[in-house]
Amino acid sequence: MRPKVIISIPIILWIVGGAFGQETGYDIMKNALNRTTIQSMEADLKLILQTGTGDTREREIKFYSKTDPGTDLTKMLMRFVYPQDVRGTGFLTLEYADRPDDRFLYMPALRRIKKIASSGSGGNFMSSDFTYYDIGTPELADWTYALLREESFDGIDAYVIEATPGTSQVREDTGYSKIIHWVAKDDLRIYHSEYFDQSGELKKRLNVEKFERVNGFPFATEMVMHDVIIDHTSRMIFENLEVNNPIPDSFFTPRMLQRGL
Amino acid sequence: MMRKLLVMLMLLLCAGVSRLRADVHFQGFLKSFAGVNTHQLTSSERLYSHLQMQISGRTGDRIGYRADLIGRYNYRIKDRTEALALYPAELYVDYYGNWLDVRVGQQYLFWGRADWINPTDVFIPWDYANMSSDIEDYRIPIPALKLSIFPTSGHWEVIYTPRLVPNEIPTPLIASVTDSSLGKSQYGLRYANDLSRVGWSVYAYRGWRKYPEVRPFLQSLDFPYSELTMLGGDFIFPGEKWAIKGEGVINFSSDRQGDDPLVDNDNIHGVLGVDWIPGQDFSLNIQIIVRHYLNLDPEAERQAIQDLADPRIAPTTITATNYSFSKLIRYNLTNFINLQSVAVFNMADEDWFWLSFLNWEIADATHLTMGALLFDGPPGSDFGNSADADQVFLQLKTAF
Repeated sequence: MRPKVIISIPIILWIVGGAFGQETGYDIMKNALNRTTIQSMEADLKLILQTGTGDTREREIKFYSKTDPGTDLTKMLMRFVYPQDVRGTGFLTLEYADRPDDRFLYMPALRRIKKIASSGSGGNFMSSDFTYYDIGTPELADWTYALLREESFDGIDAYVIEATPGTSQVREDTGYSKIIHWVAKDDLRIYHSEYFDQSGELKKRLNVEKFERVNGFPFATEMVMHDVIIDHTSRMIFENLEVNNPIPDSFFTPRMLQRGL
Repeated sequence: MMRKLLVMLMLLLCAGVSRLRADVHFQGFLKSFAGVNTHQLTSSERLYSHLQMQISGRTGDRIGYRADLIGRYNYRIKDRTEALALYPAELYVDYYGNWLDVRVGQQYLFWGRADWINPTDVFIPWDYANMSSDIEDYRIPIPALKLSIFPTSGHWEVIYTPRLVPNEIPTPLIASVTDSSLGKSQYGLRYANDLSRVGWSVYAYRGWRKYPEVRPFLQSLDFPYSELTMLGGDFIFPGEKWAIKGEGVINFSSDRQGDDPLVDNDNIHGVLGVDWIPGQDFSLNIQIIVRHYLNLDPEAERQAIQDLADPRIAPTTITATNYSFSKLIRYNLTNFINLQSVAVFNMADEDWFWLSFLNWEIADATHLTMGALLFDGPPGSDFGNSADADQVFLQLKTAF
């Protein structure tokens, strides 16, 4: 299993359909995942974390990613902008075909770059309710897809697709026993998902609240993940999104990570 | 007084420039710290407020700069002019070339991949009188020239510092160290490769120990700083939920024959540890630390110290090989509260220290920290000497 890194987050939601004659969940997902065309991305990302009691914290991150179209390997660099006490903290991930990702963390308070464990794909992204797996692009072969039904949900005609792990390793790495996606029939965008933990209990609900047209495609720019077990919510908002701008490979290096904002 | 006025002027200049230039960034933090000695609960050991302001920016793609200026008011000093200390932390200019980065000025220099205990971390001193959660408190930046060279793979670091700055040690005996021991250069060279499966570095250093030797001299004590040559290396092998890392050096001291009881013998110093990160909310680091002295005759050194017959220099446990253990735990109790705990235990003297604190993010960029710093061990041992310095503390810090 090879989970993709953070910056492919909207890719899974950037489900672009043309021929809507699919009859199986696998066909729909295959069509969607094979239509992605993002090779680089820059954006400002805002995370709003909220507890069940209404206590909120904000995080603002500037991020950059680049995917090699030949190998499909991604490099990603991320810098904290807000809050001020962590401003300048940087995070670099480099994917490889034949070994685990390299991950580097730059902590300006310590003036050091540390090469760190990759923490697995089930770890939470920036202490939010999104895991690295949630915001990455799954390998199609890692999951088995079944079209459960077609229904109108939130006023949108949708396919309801159940994704189950293809192997016990996928199940263990992601922490999910299944994921159910609501996929809009008109443009195959995923606008709602429900995640079930290893015991089969509903753990999280994802609602995409805003799509924007980027290069002619619908792009999820605001989404909310609600952990129903601990009653904690994370809102993720993309701003100033730019795709397919040229970013040199030398940008995704520990040297640039340390250079800071 | 003149120095304080100059620093104040710099602060005002920084603030003014930051408002004029969009590519200049201005940030900082304000914190108040209260520490109480657990053996004297009625009086505060440390009580101060600390304002730190940082200005940083760039001129084009090639030049960067940074200045950190600190104002600290110590409430335990009655005289208000004496209570206020103003001093710079980092002050440097960067040049970014195609294959060369240069940093000139007062700066922090860190080497090593282990946690807390880094045998290769030899350039900058510690401020043991000022331990806290902020590096600006317990490490001392020094004037230096650092060249970072980036060939096609890996990178080189070449460091030169024109003077030795020793550790700050909270002992009245050491307080009388004079500047005559300064004015000594340090040189260092490092090659690192972080992009291989196993990240690794090799090091070479020529300079000085940061601890003085306590040497009887007529009716007083002299505190010379002895020469040190270090060759070392480190590595990290990361996995998905763990990382194995190690760091080791051979230190060549000025006592190559091992016959001076007041100077460390040549020694091998190594750290081997593992990070374990089972989930987002918990991480554990444990390390074993070994120091082995070469050419050491413990009985002869002990006898030589006794022959000095100076009550100010007490013989301590002398063993050829010393083992220590350290652990570092981070645990997120809730979304906005985490616990951190660090401890070191020395096997030879059975002395230890333990630092633990709760950190509560009470609002964006504002943290309340409360914790304890405890020492114990037999008299004469590293941590046993600080057994009376146990402390509980509370800190409120907000960044802007």
